Amino acid sequence: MTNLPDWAMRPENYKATAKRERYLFRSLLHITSLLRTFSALREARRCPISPLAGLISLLAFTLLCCLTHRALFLLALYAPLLLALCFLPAEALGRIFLSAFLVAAASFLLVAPAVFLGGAGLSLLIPLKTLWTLLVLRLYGSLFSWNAITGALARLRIPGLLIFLLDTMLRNLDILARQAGNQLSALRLRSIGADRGGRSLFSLLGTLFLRTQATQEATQEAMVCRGFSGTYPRPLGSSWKRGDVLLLLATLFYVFLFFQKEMPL
Amino acid sequence: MHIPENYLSPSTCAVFGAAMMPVWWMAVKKVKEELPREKISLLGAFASFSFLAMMFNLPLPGGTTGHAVGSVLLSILFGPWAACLAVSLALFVQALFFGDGGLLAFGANAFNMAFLMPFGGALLYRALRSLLPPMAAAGIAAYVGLNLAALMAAIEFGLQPLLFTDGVGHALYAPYPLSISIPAMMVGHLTLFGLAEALFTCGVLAFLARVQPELSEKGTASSRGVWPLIGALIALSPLGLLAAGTAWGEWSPEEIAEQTFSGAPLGYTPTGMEAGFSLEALFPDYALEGLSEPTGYVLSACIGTALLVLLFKVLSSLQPKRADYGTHRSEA
Repeated sequence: MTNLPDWAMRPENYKATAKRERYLFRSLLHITSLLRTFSALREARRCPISPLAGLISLLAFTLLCCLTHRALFLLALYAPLLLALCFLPAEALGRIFLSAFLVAAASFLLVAPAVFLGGAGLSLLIPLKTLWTLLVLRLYGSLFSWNAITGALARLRIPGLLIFLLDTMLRNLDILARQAGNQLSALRLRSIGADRGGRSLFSLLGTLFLRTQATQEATQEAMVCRGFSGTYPRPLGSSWKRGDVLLLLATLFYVFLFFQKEMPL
Repeated sequence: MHIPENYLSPSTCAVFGAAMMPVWWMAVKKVKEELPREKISLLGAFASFSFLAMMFNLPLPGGTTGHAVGSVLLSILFGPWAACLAVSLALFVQALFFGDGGLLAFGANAFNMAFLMPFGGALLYRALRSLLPPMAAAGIAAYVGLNLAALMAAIEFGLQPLLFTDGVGHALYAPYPLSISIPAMMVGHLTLFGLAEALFTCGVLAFLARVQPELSEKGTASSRGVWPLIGALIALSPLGLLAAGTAWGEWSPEEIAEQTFSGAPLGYTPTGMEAGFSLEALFPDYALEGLSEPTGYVLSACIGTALLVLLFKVLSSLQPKRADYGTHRSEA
């Protein structure tokens, strides 16, 4: 018969107490899971339009949305957007609509005083524009992976530094979220029976910062070793697809409509 | 066949609304139990078929118009409870956003087109399927279903002047009695509109049988064959503008005083219509102010279709995933 060590012989008198940081941990874990949806949503999908055509249309439509003063034109802009959203999977739609509606509701709260004081007309356009812009950005992010987006930006001759910053930010969002989630889970497990208080959060943030720095240095060295010079060469081959024709025609139609209604000659 | 606002008294609307509550509750329960998540998403695409079918107005001599509904098609493909839910939501979107059918009269419209029509059509289809080829059974069921709904609408119209009149005997709501409303509604539906419904139902079923035969059986399926058809219907939706007249029983308060269905102009506008409830729809009569009618029609078709598809997709995402034991095929 094996003798148990002393620490295993001690009776357990552990009672889980309500911890103040439980709410904090849950909130932080929730934030990290939200950040990780960026990588989930950006899986490459089979899409009949190219990232470049999508980006051009996105910029044109967003400009029209921001510039219009007519509610009916804005509502007409919803038609192609809602149709495009129909092609996304159901799980993605729930997340997209929830986040977009929450932000639009917040923007409505901001303009509510103007609405109730008699300025309902133009003020109500703001939450509608906010909703539209968020939906179209989430739609674009769902259709194309981040490397396709940066490739499209390179084709538009955006400065390499801007693309590099965006590229790095998008990659690190996912990496940071995973690391933060792992550290939070580890900290939570080690906190059973011990009340570490709020200082755990700061040490977690500090560790995350140091790890990010180390990761980024290693990434930069690896990129230099692979011949990265800071420029993003334009991807080879044609960037256009069959569906781009329809999309660009729809964009031109709305641009024409905008000039016809907002700025008649 | 859409009953506009203030053609039925508020009490009539309340009765039909109350009658539909347990039907809707049951429909939601049955859809959650019987349809897998993928089919609920697909139901949205087919609800848009119903929406688009109701945009195609067909003219009848005499200046009136009508349209197909598509309820029986949905009940053949998904079952009557799912058809009830889908058509109800299509009618709701039409009433709320496009002013096609009254919001207060939504219960009555749903009773006619989302309950009587799919259930009546489904029962007849099941009875006839063993005696006739499936297409013939579907066509007859669609024809009879539409006429059943039209008859019910005519009865609802015709009862109003019997039950609700003012001190001088003028009707407060729909002014024509049963002796006028039933023949007026049924002539068009027994001839042209019923035939259109049958052709629409058989046409879509034949297309699906060729492109996606698995959709005709109650198994899981994708919607890849459905989207080109929806796209074609959206592009062709301005054809519904060619029928210039107003459907029987859908006149505006300004038009009704001049109607001569009783042999002479009516001569008055029912008080209930003049002073009743009204809601300014975002896209009244599927038009966008400042845009040409065909453009407005196409954009309205896009918005209505997209709203229905998105609504059902979001509803399907709320359904818990069920374990797949490979027992997809249920009895028809």
